[in-house]
Amino acid sequence: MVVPAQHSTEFWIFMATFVGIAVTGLLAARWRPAQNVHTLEEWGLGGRAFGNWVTFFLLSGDVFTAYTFVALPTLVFGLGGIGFGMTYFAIAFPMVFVLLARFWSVSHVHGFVTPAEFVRARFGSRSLAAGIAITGIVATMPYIALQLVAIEAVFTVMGLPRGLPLTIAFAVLALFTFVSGLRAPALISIVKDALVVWTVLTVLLIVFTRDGGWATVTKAADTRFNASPNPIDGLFLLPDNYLQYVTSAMGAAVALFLYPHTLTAALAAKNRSTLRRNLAVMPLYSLTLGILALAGLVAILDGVRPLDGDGNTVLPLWFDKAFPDWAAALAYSAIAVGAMVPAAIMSIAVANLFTRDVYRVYIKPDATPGQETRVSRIVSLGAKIGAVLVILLIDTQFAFDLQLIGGGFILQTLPAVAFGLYTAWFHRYALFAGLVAGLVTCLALLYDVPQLGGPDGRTVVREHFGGSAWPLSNLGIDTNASVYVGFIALAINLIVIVVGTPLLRALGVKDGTDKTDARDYYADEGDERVRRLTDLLDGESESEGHPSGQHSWSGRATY
Amino acid sequence: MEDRRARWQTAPLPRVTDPDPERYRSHRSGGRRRGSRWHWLLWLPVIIALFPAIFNRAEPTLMGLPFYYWGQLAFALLCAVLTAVVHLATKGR
Repeated sequence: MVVPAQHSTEFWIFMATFVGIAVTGLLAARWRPAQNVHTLEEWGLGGRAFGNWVTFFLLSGDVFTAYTFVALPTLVFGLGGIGFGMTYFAIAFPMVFVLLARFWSVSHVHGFVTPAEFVRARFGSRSLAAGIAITGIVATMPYIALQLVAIEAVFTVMGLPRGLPLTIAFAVLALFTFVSGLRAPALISIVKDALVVWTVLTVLLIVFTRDGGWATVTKAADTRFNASPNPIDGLFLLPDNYLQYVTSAMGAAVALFLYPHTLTAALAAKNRSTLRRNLAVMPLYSLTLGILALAGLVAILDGVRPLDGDGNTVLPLWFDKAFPDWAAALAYSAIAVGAMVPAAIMSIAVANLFTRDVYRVYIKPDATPGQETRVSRIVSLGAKIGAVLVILLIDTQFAFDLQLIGGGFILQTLPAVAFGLYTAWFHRYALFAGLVAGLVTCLALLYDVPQLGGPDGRTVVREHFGGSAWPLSNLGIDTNASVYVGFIALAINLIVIVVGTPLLRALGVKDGTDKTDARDYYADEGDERVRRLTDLLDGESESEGHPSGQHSWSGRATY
Repeated sequence: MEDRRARWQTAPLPRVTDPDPERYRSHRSGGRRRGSRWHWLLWLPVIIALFPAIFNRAEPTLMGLPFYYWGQLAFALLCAVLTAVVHLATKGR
């Protein structure tokens, strides 16, 4: 392999970290070994046994992905204030704190591994559940690809060639996920967080030891934004952009709860209190992201120019410029490891959705826990290979387009998955019709958004999928404001559901049976109710000839 | 297949008597438990976030950083404090 001459120190330190990660990931299978590895609860949820610290690391590794670490500073670097979307967390965390706890409880009682299983039990519709599962898969796949984009940005800055290094990195990731399941990202996320905290401290140290500190930084950024003719950029938000800023933040916050990988990491917590405690302190972690986003402003002062016009290289380039070599290498490792953790969890989440909601329901209803695990392993492998192929063979832009669509798509599962945690009022077919209407609207509107660029920011660079801001002037309202597309689609989705539910009931279309009980939503580990339910269900599954092994949760989802 | 489907649709959830029904006193009316009033606190950061006009300003600066930037980071702290308070207040209920 050719070691890039200018970056040899960085390269070797990076390689050493990477090898360490690979070994950790493979050995993770031996960490708190399961009594029966060949169940989906063990491979796909780490045995539902993660305690305090591990749950924190796993969730933070999942929510704060490498792509966010790279993309947010890029946005702030390019546009200033509108890119600094920390308010998103102020919406996301209180919401997630309440919803995830309910979701954890109901899943714990009934042994759900995926959100679609919950929907199936709540609304009694296999097709609705399959729709939710497929939407989740479609939305998550491009997210995996974006993690690759983040690693690639680091490789580009280090001067590595395109293709082979990325393939090797993902082959390693695929291998340890295949072997260790959710235990691998859980263990690696500890290393990731150490690297991230170290990087953030370095950023702060560098800015504070400079003359003028933040004042100089913001002044330089202000000067550049004032000089550019683009009407969107600036150190602050323009009142015209308020609506777009708020609706995007809300959309992203809701999506955070709905993305299957968030739910997977949450379900791995061993009890409700552990999950709630960790979610309560999670907002603190967004400070690290906030400080890295501010590094985008510092990059303006330092005159960073993106390599080959690839905006995502801004942060790694700035590390290269402002950090000593060894510190830059650790920062690169933070990004690379930060990409592997969520990519692994996402691929596991996709695999679980396929196995529990498509394979188990439509292809092989009597699959044994061993077969389930095998299918999940193969699907998670397929998800990663797909992501690598998209990046290497098609192009990065395609992944961005898909991610744009995916973000809007996942929002459409809100009524069934999130509102469903509170009410079973919706009619199953109304939910299904709403989902379809939402997805179609989302796709159609995104197709219609052109990408604006050029020096004045008003020239059409690309006809379609150029962004997610839908101008309200399309409705004939005289304004420069725009709304996040996913939001409009969600509104249509909800209208269809609210109109459709009474209509279907009036027509006498039968409702599904709700298999959950109001008490399920507060249940915790060791509750009398949970234990008795476990005994009853395990007794039932044994009498059917399903040897469920030592672990009480295997072979449970009879819905 | 048909058989399986029928069972899936009709399989009853085992009835279990709760040892302490008082805990879930009002679950029939929306499944709310005592102590949930604390959750209203969580709306505070959400509401601030919905009105950018509140924090979209330069003053007061903190170590040279405009309020827009450090204020948003401070909201993250506020958010953590509030969720922690709510968690502690509603724990074990």
